[in-house]
Amino acid sequence: MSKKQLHPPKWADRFLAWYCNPKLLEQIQGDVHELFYWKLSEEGPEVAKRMFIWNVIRLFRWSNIKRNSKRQKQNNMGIFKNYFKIGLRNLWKQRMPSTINIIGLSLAIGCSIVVFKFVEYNYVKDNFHENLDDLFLVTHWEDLESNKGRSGVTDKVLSKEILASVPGIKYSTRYSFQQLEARVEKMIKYNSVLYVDPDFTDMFSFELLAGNPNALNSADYVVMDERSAKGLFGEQSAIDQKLELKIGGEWKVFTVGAVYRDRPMNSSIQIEILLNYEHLDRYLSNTRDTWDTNLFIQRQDGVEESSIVSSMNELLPIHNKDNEVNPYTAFELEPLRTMANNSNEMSAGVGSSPQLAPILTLTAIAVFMLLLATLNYVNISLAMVMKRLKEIGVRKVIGGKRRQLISQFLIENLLLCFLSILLGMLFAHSFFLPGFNSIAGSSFNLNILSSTNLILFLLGLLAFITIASGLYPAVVASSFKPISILRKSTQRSGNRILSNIFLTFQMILAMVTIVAAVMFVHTNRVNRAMDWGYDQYDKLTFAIPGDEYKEAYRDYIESNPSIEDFAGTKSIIGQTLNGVQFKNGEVETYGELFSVGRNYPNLLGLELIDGRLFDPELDSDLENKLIVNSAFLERLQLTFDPDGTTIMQDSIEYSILGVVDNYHYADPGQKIRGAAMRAISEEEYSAYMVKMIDGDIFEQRDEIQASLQEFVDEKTVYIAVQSLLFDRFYDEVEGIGNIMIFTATIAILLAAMGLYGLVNINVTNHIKDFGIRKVLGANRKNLAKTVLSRFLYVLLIAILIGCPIAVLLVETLINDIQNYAPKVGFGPLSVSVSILLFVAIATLNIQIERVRKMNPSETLRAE
Amino acid sequence: MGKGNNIGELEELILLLVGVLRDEAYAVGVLQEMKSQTGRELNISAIHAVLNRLEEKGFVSSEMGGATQERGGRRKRFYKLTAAGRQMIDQVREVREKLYGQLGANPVYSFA
Repeated sequence: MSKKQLHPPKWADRFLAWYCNPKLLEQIQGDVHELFYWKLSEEGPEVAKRMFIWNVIRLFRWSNIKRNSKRQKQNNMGIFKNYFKIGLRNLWKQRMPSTINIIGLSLAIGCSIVVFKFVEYNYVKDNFHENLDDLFLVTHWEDLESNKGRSGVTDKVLSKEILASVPGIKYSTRYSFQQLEARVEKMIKYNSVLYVDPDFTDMFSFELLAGNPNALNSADYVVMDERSAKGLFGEQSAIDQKLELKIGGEWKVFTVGAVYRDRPMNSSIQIEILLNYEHLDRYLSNTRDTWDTNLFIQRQDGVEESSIVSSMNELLPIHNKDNEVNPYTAFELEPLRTMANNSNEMSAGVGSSPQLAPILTLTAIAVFMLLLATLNYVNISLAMVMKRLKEIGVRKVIGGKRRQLISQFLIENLLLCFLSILLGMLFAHSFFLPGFNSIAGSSFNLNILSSTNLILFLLGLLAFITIASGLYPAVVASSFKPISILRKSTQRSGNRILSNIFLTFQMILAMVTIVAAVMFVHTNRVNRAMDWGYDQYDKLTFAIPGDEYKEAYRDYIESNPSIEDFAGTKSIIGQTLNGVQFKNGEVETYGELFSVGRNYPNLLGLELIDGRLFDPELDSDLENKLIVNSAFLERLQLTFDPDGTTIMQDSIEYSILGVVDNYHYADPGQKIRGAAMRAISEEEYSAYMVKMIDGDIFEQRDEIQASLQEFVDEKTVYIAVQSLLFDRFYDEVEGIGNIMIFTATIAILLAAMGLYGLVNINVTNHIKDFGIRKVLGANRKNLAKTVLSRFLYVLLIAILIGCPIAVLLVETLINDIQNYAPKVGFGPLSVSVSILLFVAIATLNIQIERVRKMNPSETLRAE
Repeated sequence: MGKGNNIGELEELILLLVGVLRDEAYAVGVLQEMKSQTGRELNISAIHAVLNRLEEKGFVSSEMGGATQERGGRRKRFYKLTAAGRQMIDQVREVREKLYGQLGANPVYSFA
């Protein structure tokens, strides 16, 4: 034995140890080792080694590899029940951190539920129809100059041929939209009307409230939804009521045959007022031979989509021969299920495809929130686990396996996450969804049972947060060696770096959201106070209801003493847009071309830079003369020459009379482009703008509205307040701002809760330390320094890193929505930093107070 | 009559060896004994497989022995003939002898 002792090949031995079932390893390894030494003594090392390897390979069989023999199946239910019990006890025992975790998570979950609803609404459309899988929109491919690609409308003559000759179509309806005047007892309103075929109500599953679903079979009946019925007839029942519609200039009388419930929010097919297609047919065939219409079909059961398409394509050669200007390449059936999402891929499609920008923003917010809450959770759980080290040590000593420990922690986690989801749903249902609805004008609700998608989402979320938040703490907790736990030598601050990184990250996220909120509010304020380029506060505009009222309106205006001045116009600056192409030699660009009365620019109060405004006395100003803004000159690379600068629009040559400073003819969401005004004569006026004398503009409006209504029959007099024209935009942006404020509030709340939880645990762990300090005479400042030391620099780093990131992200976001956003400057940043610092210090202060008020004898007497 | 009541040639041999080795019947022991008594050398994994099978059929029982001096202190699994195993050996032998007796004194050889 004094010789160098020979061993079996190490790698083979290790391989054996790796694959072999630990329960069998000892005897098997013993056997092969014994054989090795036996062979070694009999036949030498070479043979022995070879045989050892061969044996190890031969032993590599399933019966030796598989880990569980049948006998050892345990009753797991018992242990799981036990985990739940321990889990609940632990949640209760560590109430404070558990509450922080649950509230934090549920806030984030509530947010993500709202976002999920929004995203679902954008992507899942038209899914409520019974015959969903059999419904198609007929589309075709074409290769025209005006449209290369797909079109959602079909030639009317061709659609008739399709229905006559293509087999496999059960129902079909054409579908065309129009705005019509509707008259009920002398009151005229504009209403959306859809011309459809009687099959419509058989194909689409809308909910009938009252009346006869087959009413459309008769051309004298209309079908409408609740909203339209209410708008036209008020609270009384609409069934069998009479209503007049003006189709192609003629009034026709209809009877309401049926009322349907308003379409679900995600329906691309509208109801409004349904009218037999015959009427459109009759009205349009006066002037044209054919036109395009949307065409929906429902196939017969079991008919292949491809067979319908190929028999439709058979019609094309004949059709294309007759219509050389507009040849079809091929037909394609668009399933109703995907119609809305694909509607941006075709011209004249039905429905709207998802809006990416809000989806991305909201998703980002939800992910931010979940991330914040999860990090909170990981951080606090890590600290909580340190309190349970003894339990872990004891369990390991009496034979608890690491896997069991991990699954125990995960089950506790599952419990907590489940509670959070319940609470999150409550938050979403009672606060977040109603809030979001009022901002976004939507009507989301939380119908758990009827929405499979939502249930799947919640289950997925549960699984995700359970694993994301619980796995790491569980792995860390179970990795401690029992001997070091029980000897108390484990470093209790082992995860300090990691938890500081998490905390920093949270603070950065909070910082970004605060900056976003501050900036949105700030931008909105700046925009509201923005100079429109003219005085918008004393102007009213009234549309002339019809030519017959033009004189009367004028007389009224001239006789009203509170009106200082007035101008006729066709375009209403701030409301009307009319983009056309202007040409200056090679330079071509789009710009607005407004048609206004000659004294309109002057009355509006535009600031003249060069040249002159229109002269109301000069009839030559009516002939192709323009007043342009300075952006117009820039974009067309022109310089103003008082003797005549000309510009082409289509085939008309205009000459520029004067240049005014840029003014906002549209809301600040759009950049000011070139804008030109041409003068029109009195015959073309369709509205009057008036300048009021000093006074409350709203009272003045109400007064004028009332007196005008007195001599206007049938129509509602509409008066626009100039300064309110952009309010819809402002409200929209304010809505986004409110979402940002909300996000920031939640983010800072989460970050503060995370901080609070960590400091609380930190202080609790060092409570004796503080006790001794106090006994030795530490004052408030001293104590505060000890508590703060660990967290203050985290805060500082977060601010240093957070500021540039926030500037970058927020500017991108805000420039996407606003065109006239101020830069993220020092002001907003310092406001944001102060908010963050204030909240953080206030949070820390709670713990400092706790330490300050603590009685050292309480904490030290146990020693 | 399940499969447990039948026994193959190798199984029979190893069952006999377990009986012969008495208290020293573990896998390597069986392997070495087989080599010295019959000249056949099997792979250790084959022996493990047969022993496991015999145990499943109830012809041998096993238990772990104590720590050993050789083989790095690893314990051995020792096998013992059960009553059913002994019965099976007797039964096989009986059949053999009965058939052997019917061979007669002058064996008939076939040259076909």
